[in-house]
Amino acid sequence: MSQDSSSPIIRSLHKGALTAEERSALLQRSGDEFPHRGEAKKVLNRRDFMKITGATLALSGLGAGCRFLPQAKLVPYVKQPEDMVASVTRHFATVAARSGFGVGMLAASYEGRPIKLEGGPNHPASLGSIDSLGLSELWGLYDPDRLKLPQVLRDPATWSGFDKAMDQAMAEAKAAGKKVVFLTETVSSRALADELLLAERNGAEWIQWEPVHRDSAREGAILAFGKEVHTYPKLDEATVVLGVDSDFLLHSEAPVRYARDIAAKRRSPESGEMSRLWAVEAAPTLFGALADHRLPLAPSRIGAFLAALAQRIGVPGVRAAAPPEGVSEAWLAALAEDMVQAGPRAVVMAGDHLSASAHALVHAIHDHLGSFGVTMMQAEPVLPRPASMTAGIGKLADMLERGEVHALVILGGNPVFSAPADLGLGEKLAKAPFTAHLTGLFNETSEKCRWALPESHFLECWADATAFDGTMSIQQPLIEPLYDSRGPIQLLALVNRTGLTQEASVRKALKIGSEMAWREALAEGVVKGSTAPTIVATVQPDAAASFSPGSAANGVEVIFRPDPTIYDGRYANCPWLQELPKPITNMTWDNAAYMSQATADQVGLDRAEVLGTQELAPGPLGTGRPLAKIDLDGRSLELPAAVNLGMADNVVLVHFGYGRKTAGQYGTAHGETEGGGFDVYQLRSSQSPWTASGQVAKGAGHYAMANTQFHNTLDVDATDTHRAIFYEAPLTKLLSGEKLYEAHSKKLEEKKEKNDGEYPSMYEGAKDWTKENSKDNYQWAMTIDLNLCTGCNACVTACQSENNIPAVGKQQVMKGREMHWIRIDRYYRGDHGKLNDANPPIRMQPLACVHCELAPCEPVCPVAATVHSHEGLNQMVYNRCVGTRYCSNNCPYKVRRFNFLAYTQKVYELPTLQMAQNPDVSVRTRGVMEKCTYCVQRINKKRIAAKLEDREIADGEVVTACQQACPSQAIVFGDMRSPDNAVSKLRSSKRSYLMLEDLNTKPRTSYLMKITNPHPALAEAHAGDESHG
Amino acid sequence: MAENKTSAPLDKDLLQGDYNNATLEAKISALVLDRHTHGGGKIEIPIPGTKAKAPLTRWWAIFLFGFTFLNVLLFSIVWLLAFGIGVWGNNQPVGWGFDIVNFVWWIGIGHAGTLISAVLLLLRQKWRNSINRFAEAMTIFAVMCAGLYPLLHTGRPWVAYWLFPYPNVLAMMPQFRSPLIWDVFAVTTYILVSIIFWYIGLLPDFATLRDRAKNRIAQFAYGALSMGWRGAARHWHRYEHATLILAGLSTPLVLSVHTIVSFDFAMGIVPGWNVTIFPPYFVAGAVFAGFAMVLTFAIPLRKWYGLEDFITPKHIDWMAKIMLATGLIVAFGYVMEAYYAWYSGSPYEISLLVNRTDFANSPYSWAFWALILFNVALPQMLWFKKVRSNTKALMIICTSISIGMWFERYVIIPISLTRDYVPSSYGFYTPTWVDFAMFFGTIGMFVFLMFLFIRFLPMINIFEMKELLHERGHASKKDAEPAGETA
Repeated sequence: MSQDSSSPIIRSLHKGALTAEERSALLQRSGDEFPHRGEAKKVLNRRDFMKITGATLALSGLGAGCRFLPQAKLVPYVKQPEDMVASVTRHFATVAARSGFGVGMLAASYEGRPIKLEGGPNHPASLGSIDSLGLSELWGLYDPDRLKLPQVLRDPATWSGFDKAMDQAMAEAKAAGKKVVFLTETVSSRALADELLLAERNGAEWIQWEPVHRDSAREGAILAFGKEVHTYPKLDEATVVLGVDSDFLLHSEAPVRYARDIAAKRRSPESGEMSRLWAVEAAPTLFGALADHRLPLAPSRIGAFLAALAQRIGVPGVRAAAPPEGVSEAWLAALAEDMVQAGPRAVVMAGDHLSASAHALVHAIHDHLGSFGVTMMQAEPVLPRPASMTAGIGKLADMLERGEVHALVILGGNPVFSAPADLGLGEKLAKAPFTAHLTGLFNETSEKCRWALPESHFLECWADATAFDGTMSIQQPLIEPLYDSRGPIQLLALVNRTGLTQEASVRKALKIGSEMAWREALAEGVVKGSTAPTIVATVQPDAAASFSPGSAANGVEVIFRPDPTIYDGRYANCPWLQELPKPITNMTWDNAAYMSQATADQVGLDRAEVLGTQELAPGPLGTGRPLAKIDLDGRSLELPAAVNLGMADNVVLVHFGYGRKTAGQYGTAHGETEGGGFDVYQLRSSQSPWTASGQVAKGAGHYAMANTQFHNTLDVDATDTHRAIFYEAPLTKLLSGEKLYEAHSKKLEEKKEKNDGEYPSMYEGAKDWTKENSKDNYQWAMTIDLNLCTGCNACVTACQSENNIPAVGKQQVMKGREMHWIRIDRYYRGDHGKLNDANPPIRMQPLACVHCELAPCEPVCPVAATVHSHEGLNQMVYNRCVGTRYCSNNCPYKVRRFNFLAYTQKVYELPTLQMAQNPDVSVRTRGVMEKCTYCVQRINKKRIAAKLEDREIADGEVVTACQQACPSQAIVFGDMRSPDNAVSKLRSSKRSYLMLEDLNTKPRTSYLMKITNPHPALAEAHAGDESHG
Repeated sequence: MAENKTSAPLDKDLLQGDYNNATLEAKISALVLDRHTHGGGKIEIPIPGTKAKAPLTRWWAIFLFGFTFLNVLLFSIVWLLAFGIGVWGNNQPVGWGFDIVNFVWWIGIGHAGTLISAVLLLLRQKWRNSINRFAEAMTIFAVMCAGLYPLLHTGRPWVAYWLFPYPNVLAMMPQFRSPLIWDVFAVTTYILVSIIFWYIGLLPDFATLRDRAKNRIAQFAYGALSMGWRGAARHWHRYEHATLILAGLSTPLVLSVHTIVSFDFAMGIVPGWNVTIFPPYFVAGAVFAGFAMVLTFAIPLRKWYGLEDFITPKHIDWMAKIMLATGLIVAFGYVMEAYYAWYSGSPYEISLLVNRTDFANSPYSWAFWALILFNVALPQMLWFKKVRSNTKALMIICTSISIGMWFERYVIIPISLTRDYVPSSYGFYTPTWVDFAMFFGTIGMFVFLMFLFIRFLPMINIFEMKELLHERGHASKKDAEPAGETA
């Protein structure tokens, strides 16, 4: 229903007039894209030139347009499509799979083109929220570098040509007795799996490879239960959560859902009920930053830690062991006590990077505590074919080596780039006579393949995906393919000659017979009753006993993790994600070797350089970060080193995904000036995909990196103490009824009392908007709960997508000119003037324009381009702005963003990017100031809807983009006039405070204090978490 | 004119040498009418124009220096307009960098001219006669340099005219609450009044040049510029009244322009900007910087053009004393800023103080201490008479003050912005080549205009010097007469 062939932008050639080849030839020769201009330059001789010129003239004479050439005809709908109102955005449920797990989405469609992705409210992995990666999938659709035509050895080709070649290759393979291999990423789609299994029955081989794999979790389950069992947590039931080297709030089967569930027990600490979070990890993760107790521990010691913990909890069969170095007995005892006390409500989140036996031990712990079925669910495997990725890719490499593969068809992914370095897959690919790669972007793998085939984006083709709990959803396309592309199911259906359309394949695979059920599943975004039934699998008695904590590290431990924003490299060409500050480190556009300060000292790196202090990081004056050289089993790599406070000593964290060689204009590594990072896959082997021991030494040279923020601290020295910025208090203090925070000066407090409870203002004469306008106008306000914010950055990307915010590139970020309207401020909290370098409390604070009632930005604008609305919005009138930047200087929150250069130029130049813009929001030009609007376009939409129905906007009706995306629902927005509205209730909460309240700017965004819940026995060590003001 | 109303007797040192009206007029007008005077040799009186050696070499050299940098300025402006503010080092949080630093610096430099021409006129300080003309010219050129920046620093300079109140279909006026709008009025008034004042003061001299010029073109040009000045008593009467009124108008401008410029900061909420002492301290700083720049030009010019008789050691000594006095006011301002920060108890202000001064914590403390060195420490040398009479030492001190005053603005404007309220937004400011090109470009433009001025207009006020000569004559007569008669 959403395949809207009458959309004005998507045109198809008159099919009757041309054959497929002609059409294709036409496409490559006439469009505005000229995808092979580069090649043309190289090979074009006079005769070819004349031929092309002649053909161009002849074709333009025929009046045949390109499918994608924007034509200057505006034709209204002759027949209005059903339910279609021009300018009204419609939403369609769909699903995207990442590393094998589906995340439900609602795609907003504006006159036939998807303009934004939002969370699927009914989907278990989303519940209406979404993360940055999910949001950025939209970019993949409009990516200007998408592969637009099939290519054979980089020359334009046609799909029919491929079909013929494929048939021939299969016939040849059969004749030669060799294999046809299909290499996929983790397949989540039943329909695709069915096609692949059918191909296998016809003699082909299906192998899956995914660099971010869950091999040890799977093997751990087999070890523990004796069979394939899928486990997933129910964190909303858990009162004690222990994260063991697990970044499950950022990258996991369902990070959004897990964040929502964690928030469930931390939303109202006033009630006294609050979960306690513990984290043991090698490098700070989002969960670690959120946790009440966090302990940095090298990966080699984590096994010993788990064994010691299991023994103290009383898991039978575990030998008594002393806690490893770095874990105090008291800490361990407190944790064990907590877990025993919580019993079934305790849950351990084991990182995918732990060994299989560690996973088995964790299962044994769950079994002992009785968590299975309460906080940890067991189910039959949810994936169509769970398999060991490492074994799979190893097998493929062997087969290629032995020359057993005649034809290799790679569906998606980028295995040449991401396969373990020891396999040398890139070279071995040449041993298969026929290779084809179905891909959205031409990448390193496409380069090595004979055929590069454009893959349809998930918004362009039908498929299905399975969520972490087995719930199935239909991947519903919203737009006809922009280019001459095919979806993987379509491709396989043609290879298998099943004769099914994509939609029919999906329907058949999901076994949905009735039209009603199909339509319901499409509308709901989930297939009813498809959640995997829970099972009871018992832990085998020897699972715990056979656990061996592993040997001590030899040298420095190098840990491999997917990049926080570009993941395994697949999002490298998405500038939104490239420029999204990586949580905690706030790096953009590059990866680095992260280490603790002690490790950096040990390696001999300059302190200021490796810390990336302000004067060194940006601009031509800075020398940049020092390079560190990592040596692992004869493979070595130099990459910039950066201190990441809170990392375990003797550990170096590297993120893979960067260092792309063929990834389009944004993703390809361009070196220091434009970023793109370093290829860590070169170091990653199939034996040690997550942790390896090696040597780290000082490298030669420097590399400047682009941070959006530096090592900001609070309460460490005279320059950051006593600021009314981030307040926090322990739960005991909250419950005791004490005053939670105080202003920095008693005099100021006295003044406040004399002045009707208001601090003195610089701008006394300004109007009191609330008092004046609260009768007749909505008074918009926002609250952000710092107790829930995980710092995942979903709000940043959501805002970027909603508000047409451009990415500015590494150079501009280094100059401090990133455009994000909302940002996550990360602070390291000091304790009475001292910063615990080894393990500082990490605090996250989302900050956008706070819409001050007495806004300092307003009176200083010479042309009244920033003014106050009667609804309390601090508005920015782009048309009026002359760009003096005075408002930004005078903003104490520094949330205004200026278009220093023509950052949106590409939007004007590239038609696809125009399609990606939200039509309700102006695209700002050079020289104009901009900032958060509280999503005024969304307010106005609801206002129109309410006016049509002659009613007021209801509480909770207006949802801002950041609020909508926020996985933990930390953001609440609404009209603060009525005390019954959610936002008013939160504003009057005991935890509520205003940032920089002492300036009396009267911000409309208020914060709810962070509450920590330390274990009473360890509360002493947490003295630093007392309230600060 | 030559009324004996001056409270203090005329200092004989204000005009040295043996002149009569004819030789005085000949000497000064020769600076314009005889191109050989620009050759660099010392010109003897009278000026027959016979010493023809390498005419105009020094003038050409400096003029071309100015012209070259003027072109650098033009190039950087084209670059700026083509690409946007991003070619500068401005960023978040530092919205204002070199642009406003240079604006304030140039505006400050202009102030000495207005002070000399208006305030000293009203106070009947005769010593202003020989320096007012080129000091006023400096005012105009400095304000022209300054005016470029507010225009070009806007993100969309093509709509910068929105800052002016003009009738339009949008019925939109600028926002009068914004200090930037006050700036627009202050600076516009300043340049208009300065130009009118200057031009009216030039009228009698244009007439002199018209009369002395031998070349037809010069006769015609100066004739047109002199607007029919014949030196009639009625002309002089009106002239005297006009200058008095204009001096009255200009006098408040000396105080108001820089006061309003300081409001750009004092009205802001940024720690380091929000200081009530800014208006007087900015005005004093402006006079300080202005006199330094006047001396920087006066000392070489008087030597090259043989003007030691007109700009005497007395002038230089007095200007140095003014610099010392205003310099002390400025130093007091620095002390008070620090005191306020400490006394406020505000963590933001205290943090600013640390960020400015602390070597360990602040990446910019070098700029603050450079400011103290150039602006406070070195000018203390002016306490010594020996230094005040040594032109070479004075040149060094004046240059130091110019640099110091530039650093003052640099410390106040971008450095306060690098770290204000929210530590996560702390940033850094690194100027780019375009920033430097524009700064040196405006210096080039200033030099270019100044050298055009000294080539084509009399850099010393001819008729006021004649007046001084006349008064000197009276004074020497009076000395000879019995003392009782004047009472």
